Amino acid sequence: MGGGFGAKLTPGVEATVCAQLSKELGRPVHLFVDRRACALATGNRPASLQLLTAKATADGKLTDFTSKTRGFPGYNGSGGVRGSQGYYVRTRDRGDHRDMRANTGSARAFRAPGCPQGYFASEGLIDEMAYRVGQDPLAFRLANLQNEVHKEQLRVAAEAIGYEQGRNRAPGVAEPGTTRLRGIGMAISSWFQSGQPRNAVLCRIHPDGRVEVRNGAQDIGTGTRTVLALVTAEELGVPVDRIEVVLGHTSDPPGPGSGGSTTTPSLAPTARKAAFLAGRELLRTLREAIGKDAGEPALEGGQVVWPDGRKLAWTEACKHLRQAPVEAQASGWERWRGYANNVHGAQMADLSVDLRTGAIELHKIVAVQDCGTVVDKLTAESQVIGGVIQGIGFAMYEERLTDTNLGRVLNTDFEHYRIPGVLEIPEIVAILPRANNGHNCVGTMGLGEPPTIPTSAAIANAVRNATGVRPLRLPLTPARVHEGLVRMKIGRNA
Amino acid sequence: MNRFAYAAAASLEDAARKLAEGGTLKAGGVDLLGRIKRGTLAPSLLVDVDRLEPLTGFRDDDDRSWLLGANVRLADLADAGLYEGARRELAGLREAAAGAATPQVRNRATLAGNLLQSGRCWYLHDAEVACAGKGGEGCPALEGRNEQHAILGWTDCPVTMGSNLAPMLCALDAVLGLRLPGDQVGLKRLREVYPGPAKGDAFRLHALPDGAIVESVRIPRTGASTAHVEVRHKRSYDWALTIASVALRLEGGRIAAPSCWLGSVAPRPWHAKAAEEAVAGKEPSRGLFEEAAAAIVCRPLSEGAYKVDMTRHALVEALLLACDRAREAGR
Repeated sequence: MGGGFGAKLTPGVEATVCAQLSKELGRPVHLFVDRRACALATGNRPASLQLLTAKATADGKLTDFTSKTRGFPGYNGSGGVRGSQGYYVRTRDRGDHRDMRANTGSARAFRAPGCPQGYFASEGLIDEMAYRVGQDPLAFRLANLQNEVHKEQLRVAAEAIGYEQGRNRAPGVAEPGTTRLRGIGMAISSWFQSGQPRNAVLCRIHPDGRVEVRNGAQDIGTGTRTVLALVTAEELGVPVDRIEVVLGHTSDPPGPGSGGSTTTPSLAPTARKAAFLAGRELLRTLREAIGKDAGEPALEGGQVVWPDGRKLAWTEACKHLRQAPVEAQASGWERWRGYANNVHGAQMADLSVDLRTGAIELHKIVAVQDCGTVVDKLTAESQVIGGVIQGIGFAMYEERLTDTNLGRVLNTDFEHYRIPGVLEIPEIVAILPRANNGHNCVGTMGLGEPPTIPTSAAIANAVRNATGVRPLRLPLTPARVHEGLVRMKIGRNA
Repeated sequence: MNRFAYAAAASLEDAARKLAEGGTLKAGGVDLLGRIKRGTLAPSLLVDVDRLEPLTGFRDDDDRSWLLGANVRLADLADAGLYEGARRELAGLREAAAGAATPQVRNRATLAGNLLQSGRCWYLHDAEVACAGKGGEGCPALEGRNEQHAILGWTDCPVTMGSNLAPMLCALDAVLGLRLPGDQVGLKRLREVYPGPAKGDAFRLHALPDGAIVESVRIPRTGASTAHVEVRHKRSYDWALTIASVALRLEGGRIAAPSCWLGSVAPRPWHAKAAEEAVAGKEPSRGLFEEAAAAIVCRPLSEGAYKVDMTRHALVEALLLACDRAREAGR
């Protein structure tokens, strides 16, 4: 099964069919599901219907928040949602959720299951409460949020997007001489994972100085190879180009499943420990080769050094291994106490809405995200930007159009199933401030899912700030935005 | 996808002969390949005219018209360099071509293929859904998902004509040069090519006879200024939600010979005659154009109301833009 972000974490109906065919035939079977079959039967992010209620005092203190939600997970899976309300107000509400079954494709683990839809609704209501008590949505959030990391992230995002100058103080009024309504919206997010317990990493140091790192997990495009290579290089003090990471073989030590944003928090600390142990094996060999009289050798800055001042460069040191590489395997999992158990995010979107057509033009999105230690800045920023782009798709384009009479998905190709293209993607700024919440010896937390959670909520709240009309349904097609503008008589005389 | 034979035509005569033997014409193959992959068309023989020299080229045929080969690519039509000496009069055509699909598709798609493309409807293009447009009965769109369907000029099949170029070329009163079966040649005004969906075959929105090959498109030179405005959900790689194409002249500050055509809103390029009558002989103004656009009477389906306002908006913008260009020409 390919693609952790493609709703393929667990075997679905297609895997069952494939296994059955293979059993009948007694031969290996490769099942290729085309786009139409994929849209009809292999699962998706489930739809939801959410009725949320909030209460606040006249001066803007949130006092209660309740939810009644229905999920539509097709024939299997859960359509549950998770929102942000717990970060604003303590409530006894335990939610009233039920799933409504239908003979359609099942709910699957699609990048932060339950969250983009939950945050769209909860952050939408929080936002609306601010307007209803006559407060700026940023000030309202800062006053009600409990968590200092979220507050600081919102301040950083506001600064980066130019919130004070850019926010629309008169929603629904076009910029002079144009039909453009401009607005800025925001949302917070959170994600909980800090790794999975059952994993192990093998580290092997070769006589030619190469270091081999092996684990059975997949790199699903999220930079696992880069992370393991960098952590190993740093621990041993050798250049990263000497590290060779091998992933994806069943015969290698087990890795976590590609879900829950757990690969980096699971494997980075284990890789560091494996490197440390393998390095110790190297030192043991050297101690025997050089002789105990020289004292205890140690690894320092890519060299092996002895108390008597003797030094060996890495490559020279490894030559003492002769024909026999040394190796070590580390396993296990750590949960240290950190500043917080979760990772946090805050995003802001700056956009314009065309009064006449309802078309949205995104100008800029700022994504502030913590993930514990940032091992590689480029990879981490890319992960955040990718999450935002997928969030743009969820906010504005992606929708399975299902005929409710026939139970068929109608848009099963990219002519009608829209995803963002290069022209739909604005400037995206990823900011990754360090928050000390990594629960392990590297300090890493998950980053795969969190950045896609708040994007749709931020965009919808920006549409509210621009137009004065609260979006209640995604995606925000021109037809839906236009309908809201007409209903609320925005920019229209009649 | 079915198995089929493939033959590259050596000449137009060769192509006509192979079509008479039951072949299916292929030029850019854009619309055709989509249908074969969706299983709504199973040709036994593809007759490829993609590289036939007589179907290429753009030239000033004489002082009275421009002549475009049927296989001129949308990418060429979108290229400003093509229009030396015709920048203003064909500005709308360039806009129409530049907005279509993606650069990759525009490199393949041909002028004639765009004009003769299949009707657009997701029920029609689903081989497993029965409907009157495919020779079955009824129309699932009427009670189903119909946000992109026709709001004008339909009777029982609300399929839409999605061609970006057809409304503009109708506004310019273009004429198709045809090679007809039996080695005959013929001419047909584009405005008369679209009668609406063929009975039991809503893929076919044109009335050219079987075996006909479009050789050229002739655009008469009238000195008109043109503009093409379309509203899309995405900026690229998307079908238009609505299209307005306009050609007009300004004489003494008043609108002369207005030609207003709409796209993606009806089973054919839609001639907005009421709007033309409302603006003819008048001095241009936004207020006038809004009145003219309001004169278009629409019949949207349950999810199509937004298209009415959006179409009127597109027409107002196209009229304003065409008038701006006419004023520049007058200076």
